[in-house]
Amino acid sequence: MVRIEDLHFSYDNEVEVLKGIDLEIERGEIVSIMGENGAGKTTLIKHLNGLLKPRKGRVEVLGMDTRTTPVAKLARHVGIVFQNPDFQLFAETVEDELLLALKNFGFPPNVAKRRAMWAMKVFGLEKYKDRSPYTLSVGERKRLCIAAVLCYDPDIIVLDEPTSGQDFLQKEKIMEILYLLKQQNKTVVLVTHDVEFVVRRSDRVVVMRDGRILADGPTREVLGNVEILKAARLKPPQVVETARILQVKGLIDPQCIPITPYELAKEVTGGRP
Amino acid sequence: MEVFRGFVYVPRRSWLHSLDPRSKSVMLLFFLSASILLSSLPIQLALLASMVPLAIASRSLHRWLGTLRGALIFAAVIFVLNALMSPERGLEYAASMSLRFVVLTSSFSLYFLTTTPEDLALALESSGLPREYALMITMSLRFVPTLARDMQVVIDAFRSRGMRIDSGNLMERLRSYAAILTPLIVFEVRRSLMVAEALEARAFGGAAKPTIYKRMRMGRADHAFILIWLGLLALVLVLRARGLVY
Repeated sequence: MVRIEDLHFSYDNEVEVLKGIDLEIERGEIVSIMGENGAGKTTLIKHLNGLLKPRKGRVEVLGMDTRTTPVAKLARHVGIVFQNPDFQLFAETVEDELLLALKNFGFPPNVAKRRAMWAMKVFGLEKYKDRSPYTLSVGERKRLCIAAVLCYDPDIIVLDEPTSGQDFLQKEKIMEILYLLKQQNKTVVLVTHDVEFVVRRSDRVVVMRDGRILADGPTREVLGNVEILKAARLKPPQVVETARILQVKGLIDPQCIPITPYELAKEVTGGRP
Repeated sequence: MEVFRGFVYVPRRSWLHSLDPRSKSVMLLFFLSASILLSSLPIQLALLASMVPLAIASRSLHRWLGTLRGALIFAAVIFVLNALMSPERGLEYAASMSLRFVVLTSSFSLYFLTTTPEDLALALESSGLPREYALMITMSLRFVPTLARDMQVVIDAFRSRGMRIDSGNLMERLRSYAAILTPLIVFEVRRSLMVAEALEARAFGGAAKPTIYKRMRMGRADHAFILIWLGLLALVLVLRARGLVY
């Protein structure tokens, strides 16, 4: 699906931001890219639809080399939702905002309308159909940006900090949508600091630091490894931390790595759920 | 975006950097008035050429040339427009008009590359400008690179949704530029409100008279520097009055 080989990048030819990234992402995976600010996460995802081109190395998406494929063509397959919703709203009404990309990609008007309606319903935005996007709250604007990408059904969905500024309920909603996308065998790339969110939904975690990949593996292995988390300046998930305390006190098996509350409870009660 | 970088202070150690901002303003004044008062092509070229050693001395040649490159694009437009609109005045006139634009832009670049916004504010204040206005000027300078960055983010988001900026007929292009400006304007207005609140939260505009932390002081080098540029300016005025240069 996505193949990145020895990717190097710098904005001004002076400081390298990405220093040799190798990464492969398969269809249907939910991958989280984590790491401290300035590690190169956003720079990396901008390579997925060709907004940035590698200085060295190559990026291939669905067999297309991003260096030679126009962004408009890649964007049909890779939907990126950026961090700040205020910079991504261009239309006069919420509905037009959703129709914008649909029209661009040549969807027939009646199909486009139906898709826009579907996206509004999923994200609870249908009551704002004719309102200006700028009159919505931050959380609603963020959801509108996600809806504006999901409505044209790209194969790969990239979300930069999707949970920031969302309350608990909205986070749950986004999680549900991720689950839906997984059911449809879509590929999802998340950029986030939110370990609690990642622990519940992600199949795989890639940890970046200073333009390199520090760790790459199943969520349990990476988020259960306190050393890696410390090096990447990430706080372990609460369950992992609690399990560590219980292990030090000798209350649970020192080898186990529970990452969900349910697993931890099972360890504590000795296998009885 | 490259062009903006020519107007942002770069910390270097050079005598031009260490001069009082007020003396550098006199230099700027010379370049601006000479370039506007005189319009012949050789003069504009000479003005531009005389900035080169200054840029080298301030160790900012690279950035300064970046401004020059950016300005040349606009200068080309000015050249074409002049040549088309007033063909009777000849190509030399069109060339000197476009070069004048380059001289004006690059002299501002030289000034801003070597002067911090704080120093500029201090200079403005100490020459009697009310604090609010000094702040207004320095803030607008300070936000130029931020605005450039914001614009890049907006363009990235726009292109990520399959929109093209540099294709289609004129109407289509204008429409996409308008679409890009919408979020930018909305956000910058919101940002300015946030900045205003932040300033008030730090007691800007309070009743107490603010004290000045850094005193501006002119040295001998400053006086010499000012004299040179004032002398050159006087020379230009005299020669122009006698009709020796134009």
